[in-house]
Amino acid sequence: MRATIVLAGLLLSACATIINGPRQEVDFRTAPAGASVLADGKEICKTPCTAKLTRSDEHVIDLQISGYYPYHLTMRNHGSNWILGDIFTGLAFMFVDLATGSCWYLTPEQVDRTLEPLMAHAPDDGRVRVGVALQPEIPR
Amino acid sequence: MKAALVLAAISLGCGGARSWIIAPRAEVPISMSDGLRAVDGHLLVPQEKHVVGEFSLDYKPWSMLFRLISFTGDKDISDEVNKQVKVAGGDAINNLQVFSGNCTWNVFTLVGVLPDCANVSIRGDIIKVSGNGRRVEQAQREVN
Repeated sequence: MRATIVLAGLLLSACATIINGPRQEVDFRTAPAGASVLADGKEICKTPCTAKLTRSDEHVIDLQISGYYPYHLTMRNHGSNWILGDIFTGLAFMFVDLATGSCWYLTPEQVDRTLEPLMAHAPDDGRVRVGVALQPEIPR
Repeated sequence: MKAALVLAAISLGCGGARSWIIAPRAEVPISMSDGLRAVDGHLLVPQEKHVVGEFSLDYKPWSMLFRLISFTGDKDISDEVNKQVKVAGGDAINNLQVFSGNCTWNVFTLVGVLPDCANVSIRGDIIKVSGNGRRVEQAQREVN
């Protein structure tokens, strides 16, 4: 019985690091496709694409494509329940999970967004208006 | 002893947390619906509203004694609203939603007399207004 508990503890040691890993894959899709995906101000890919982002940090994401309004969001990180496995090892391996950042998960896990076109429209009064969006300054 | 066990049993799951979300210093209108009004009071049409970002804020309120005592109290989201709307280049927030759920600490609080927490997520659409709707009704603030 004692050996079983010890074995279970060893198997569950730093389990967030083993199960999650320090980076999380995030899918990015937009309509239309081909939008630049900027993470924390740096372009990482063009949609549709999958990128690996560090779990330990929150990330500012911008989706940009010419002729469309840009889209801005922040990926938040939350505590992963896998870290509860460290309880079996007397919390010793919790430091490993914390150091690697594996004890977090990012949300949203995928970004699927229809971007709105910059276009002219004619409301009821018959006058045509053209919408122009200035690209916001991206903090670096 | 039996009475204590019965009390503990009926108290299971009575933890959690309580707090209030406020935004008294928000510089842009906030709505929990998809409606947004111009200065003259007319509802903006969809062509005048463009979603340019997602407002997001997560926090963990704490309470104890079956939520009677709230350590977190009011959660002022004004600064986050102003900051995130500015970064996204927006003018307002629509469709504000509040979600709450368990936090990991819940498993350690078998009875509600212990301090307990919740995970609260606030999400909304950051809206950029174009056309006549550019003059957004600043007084429209509907955060509850």
